[in-house]
Amino acid sequence: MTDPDFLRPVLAAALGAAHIEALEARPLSAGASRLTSALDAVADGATHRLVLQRERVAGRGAMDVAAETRLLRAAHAVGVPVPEVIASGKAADRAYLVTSRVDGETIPRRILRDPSLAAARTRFAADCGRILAGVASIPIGAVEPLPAPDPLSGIEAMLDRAGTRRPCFEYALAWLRSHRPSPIGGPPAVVHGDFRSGNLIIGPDGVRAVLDWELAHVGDPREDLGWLCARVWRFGARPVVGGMGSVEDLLDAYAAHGGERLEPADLFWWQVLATLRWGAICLEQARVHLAGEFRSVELAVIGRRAAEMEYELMRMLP
Amino acid sequence: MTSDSELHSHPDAGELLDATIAFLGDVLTPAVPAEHAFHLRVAVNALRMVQREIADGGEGEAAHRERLAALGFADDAALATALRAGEVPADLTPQVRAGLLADAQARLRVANPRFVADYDAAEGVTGAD
Repeated sequence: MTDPDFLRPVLAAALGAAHIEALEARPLSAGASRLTSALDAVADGATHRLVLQRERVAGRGAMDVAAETRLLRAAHAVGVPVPEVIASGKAADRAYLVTSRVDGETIPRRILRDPSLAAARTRFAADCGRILAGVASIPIGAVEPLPAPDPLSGIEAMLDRAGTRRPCFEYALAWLRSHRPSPIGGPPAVVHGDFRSGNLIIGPDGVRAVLDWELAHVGDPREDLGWLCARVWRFGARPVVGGMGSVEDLLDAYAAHGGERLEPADLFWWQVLATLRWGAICLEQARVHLAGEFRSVELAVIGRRAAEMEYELMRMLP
Repeated sequence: MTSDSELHSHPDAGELLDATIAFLGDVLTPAVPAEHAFHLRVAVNALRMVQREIADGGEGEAAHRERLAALGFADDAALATALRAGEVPADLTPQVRAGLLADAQARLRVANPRFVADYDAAEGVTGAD
């Protein structure tokens, strides 16, 4: 991101400023679909600390910024901590999204170890329970249109295009199909779709913002709870919730803030789903590399991590 | 140490990898700019996987094929297709499960040798499979 000049008129309008005196972007991360930069703007003498997300390749439609904007605003309205949307749109056929910049840590291994985050770790599971109850309370009407996929169909699609066949994953898929849980008491809800420590901003005071809403959909709120409890997001630590807290704390806070009263056993099917989903994503990441869509040694190596989920599934399932 | 390759002898593939890993890990790692440090670590890890795969010398591959043959399947694709279609007889399930677990363990001996022990210790898995 060398030249965010296209943003000057956009930001002037969004910030209600007559002049943008300075605008500087600093790359933070480069994903397969989007580039994320820290953006500092000086507008009418005031400094604004922002984040710019930009679609990596023009014309691919990999970023639906209108949907993300609706979600971020609706999440904020129900008290879910999120960055504030400053501007969004398309320039040179590449979508962009400018939000406020929330200070804190997003790297899971640092979140697990940084001494200054000890209190945040203690309250992490309860924070997540409260926030996920908030996510599930977002009025669907405020975020439509949003897809409502069957949770197994996306996994099956990834397995079918992986270029490798995995009997362990088929065994798990068959088990999931034949043991579907009965629907939850309430109606379908907004599901974040990738709720884990790496997509949260954590400060010493706890979870400060929920990021990366691009996989949000309508579904069963237990999906987010199960995904958060997946072993892969514990990064070697023992506690079930992100390596930091207990499932009891998570579910107590979830119920105390308006979510359904759930028992740890109610999440088992969803934890199996999460384990299979991460395994399928490992294969998908390798496929993205092998197909030349985004060449990366990281994506290639993640393909071999599918075996970790094969082992977990064979230990979890009867 | 003898090389498995009569044609190439020494340095063999594993010894070339040793030299490359030592250079990337010991020499280059402290010198690369921060934005490439993570991917360099991942790349060294990839080479260690290749090293373990070479050191395995085809034993894992042969054992995998034997397990499939014992179940009556030509390859993983055939077993996967049968599982998807629900065509694996229920009375075969224990053997299928045992075979799939052994496959996952064999893959992890190359991909991530610490994974099984870490998982078993954390989840209280006991007994040999």
